Amino acid sequence: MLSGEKSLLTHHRVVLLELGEVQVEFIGRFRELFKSKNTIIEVGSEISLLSLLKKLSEKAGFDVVSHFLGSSGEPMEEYSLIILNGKAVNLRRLSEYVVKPGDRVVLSPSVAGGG
Amino acid sequence: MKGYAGKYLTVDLTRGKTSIGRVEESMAINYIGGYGFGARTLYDMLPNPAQIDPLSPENVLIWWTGPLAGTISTAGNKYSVFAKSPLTGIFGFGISSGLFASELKSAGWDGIFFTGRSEKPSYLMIDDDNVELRDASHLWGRTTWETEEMIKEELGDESFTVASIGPAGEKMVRLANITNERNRQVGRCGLGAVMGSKNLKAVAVRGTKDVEVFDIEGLVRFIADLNERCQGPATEKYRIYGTPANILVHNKLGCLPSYNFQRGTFEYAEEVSGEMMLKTHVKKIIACAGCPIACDHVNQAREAYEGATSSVDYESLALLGPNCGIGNLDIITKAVEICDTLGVDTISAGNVIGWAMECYEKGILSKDETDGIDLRFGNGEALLEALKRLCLKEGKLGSLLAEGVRRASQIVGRGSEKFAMHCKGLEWAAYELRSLQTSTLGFAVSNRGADYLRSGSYQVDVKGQVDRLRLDRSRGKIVYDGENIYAIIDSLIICKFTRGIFKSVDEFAKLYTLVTGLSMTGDQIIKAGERIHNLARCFNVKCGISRKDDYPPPRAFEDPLPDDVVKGAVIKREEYDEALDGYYECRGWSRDGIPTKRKLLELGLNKEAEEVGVEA
Amino acid sequence: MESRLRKVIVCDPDKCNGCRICEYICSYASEGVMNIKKSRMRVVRIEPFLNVAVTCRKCEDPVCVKACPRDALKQKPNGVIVVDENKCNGCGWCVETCPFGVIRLHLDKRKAIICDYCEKNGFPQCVEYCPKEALKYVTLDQAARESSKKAVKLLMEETVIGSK
Repeated sequence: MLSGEKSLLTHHRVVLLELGEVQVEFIGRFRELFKSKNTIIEVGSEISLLSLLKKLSEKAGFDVVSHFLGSSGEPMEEYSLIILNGKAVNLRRLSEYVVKPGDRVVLSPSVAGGG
Repeated sequence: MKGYAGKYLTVDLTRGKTSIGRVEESMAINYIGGYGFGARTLYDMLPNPAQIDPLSPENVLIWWTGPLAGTISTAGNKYSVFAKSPLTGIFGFGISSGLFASELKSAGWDGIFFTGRSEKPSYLMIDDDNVELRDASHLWGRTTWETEEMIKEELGDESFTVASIGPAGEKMVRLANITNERNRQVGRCGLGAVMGSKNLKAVAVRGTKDVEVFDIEGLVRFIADLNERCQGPATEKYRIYGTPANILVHNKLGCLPSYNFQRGTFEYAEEVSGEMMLKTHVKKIIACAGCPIACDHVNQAREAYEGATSSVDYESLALLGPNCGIGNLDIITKAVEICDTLGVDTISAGNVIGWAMECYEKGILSKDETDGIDLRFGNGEALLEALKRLCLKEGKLGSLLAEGVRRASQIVGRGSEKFAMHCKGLEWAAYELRSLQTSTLGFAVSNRGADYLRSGSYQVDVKGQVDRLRLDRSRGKIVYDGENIYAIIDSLIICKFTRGIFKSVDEFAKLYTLVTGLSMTGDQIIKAGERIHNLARCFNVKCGISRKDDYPPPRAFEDPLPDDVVKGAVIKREEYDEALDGYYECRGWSRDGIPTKRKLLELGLNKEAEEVGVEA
Repeated sequence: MESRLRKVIVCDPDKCNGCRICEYICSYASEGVMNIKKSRMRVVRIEPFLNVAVTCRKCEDPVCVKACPRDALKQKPNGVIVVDENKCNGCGWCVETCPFGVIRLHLDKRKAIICDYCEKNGFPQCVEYCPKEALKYVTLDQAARESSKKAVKLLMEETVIGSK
């Protein structure tokens, strides 16, 4: 990675931190759904990942949570994945993860492989 | 019993003679088909595998379908090929799909065994009961795609399905594969080289018989349900972007190998992502016979590579792309086309070229040793040139790369063995080692060598169900469970992309019984999976495999990942040892990784208990 | 039945991926077996990109019927071609004349076999089982309207909307 690009990223993160914002990136189907590669969500100090998804739902106008949890609350791991600061989230515990300003969240289809 | 044709064909290539063997019911129940049949017959046909040169006439080449081939079973038209691998020197095995398996079963055959070596280039034609070895002199040197066309033309019927080797297989390149229907390959373990060593260019088959099904009405009903489930969320990832969807996900997780596994992210990931590919390169998505999912994304290259066409999946994309520093889909599409037509495995080829690029940049390989090719990471023209030379064993570079990464690094030496990314001689696939550590354990203990297809253990890592940057004893169980289920999937043979739609192993058993009429429970079929896995391990033990071979390459332990998201990730040797102990314990093997007599007897592998088993 | 109301099986080549599930299910629906060589549906794959499933088109004044030297083929008012197995002697003249190549001689019986639109099942099973809804059972007029819509949409996206 170019060093200029890297410092830009770091700078970006600092700005997010100051504004109390979280950047959410989209991969695969989520790019189509949100018609964008990313968006910014204001979280104030910190909120749970589940609350973040609800805020995203309000902004997008559709139920984002339903892409991760089935109708009876079961995780749909073969379908979708959330990456919080580079780590895959256990979908069973969405409300336990805390999201802080400056964090990076990725909504993604789950990994496909093994033919 | 139904489902099976009940017989196999043996072709003695040396004498040009054929004979027929029967598939017994006990074989069917204990070993299911595909992988299981291959393990059983390879073990029996090569009683002293350590003494066999894989490229000599003494090696055998075994083809098996499974009970489901030729029926409407969901993504169940697959065949498998077995031999002692010229790449790894152990249990060699590969699976392909398409119409070939259906035609073979319909022709009345479950499998084909090739022994010896034909005096001149030949191909086998199977037309129901009519079997004929035909001259292939005019096909020698032809690409796989040309060979298919020419054989169909010659036999006068489009409905013949052809599996063939390209020039790479003829020249016994150790990475050579077998191709059917252009885009489907028995990719790994260099089985195309075994075909080449036997002077066998192709197998062409046409079948017109009914495939008998025990409860056809029940089967059709069950398949309607399964096929419906295949349009649901569990398989969406395969249907829309195909497996290349993994590029961006893996990049975000720091587990996309780049620059010969020096890093786990790639700065041009967007440019080679599944999202980009679908927008700019995918011309058509096609399906294998009987598959309701359809994952095969056929690309058309543009600009300088206009006219190049190939089916690009995640593994090919990642190894020939990021792993070689290439961020351009036109070059990757062309690279895959070279591999598919000349006949080498894209995974192994991308891996060994990535290794050579690292050697070149580190000054280990000189420009003289690369025959003047400027083999820097990211140099697309160099990649394509190196690939062609690899496939044709041309010059110093081509001859070196054609040996596969283990042998090549042993030849070159000078510290290059440290970053030869393989296990047991099989090139590592596109799952980063240090940032997916359960996956790494699964790769390293696999019966084929570094293998992403034997347990699916990366799934717990990428789904956040475990700490993927650590290992502990409990991971052994995860790999163990995965391997037993995958052994069943590979024996029935169904496509692994359907695994998310089966509610439990009971449904595998149900499918088996509907087709064959042989009663089977979920527990019994899982036990068969364990039996099959152990049998293949016994073959490997006879080849000299033990604990020492169940380790990932040094880079996994010695070079921490530099990428932001997984900075410093590395495997701790003591954690790995612990996880390996945990795995052997689940398996009921000794601490040295050898199956115990007790476990083998429990699985009904009595002969193996005597020949291979150790006391606990 | 008026011929304009006749429904036929049409295939959308954009959706068809050559999986042959229609052939497998057809062999079951027509003969109760698994054997794609007994299918009345024919999947054509022309490498590297073209996949289409074709079957009897219920032609107006069908050439197969006219061609049969033994009058074994008749077209019913709903367009389905029926073969009188007692008259058919497997000469294969109809196979040769069918412009779409969708008539075969039965592998065992050596009599002409032609898609009967699953009259006994009530609905064409190939359409029912097509996983990508590439196959449709519609009147030609309906099919044409769909095609127009698709063509116009594509054209407009490229020219007027310019989003491609």
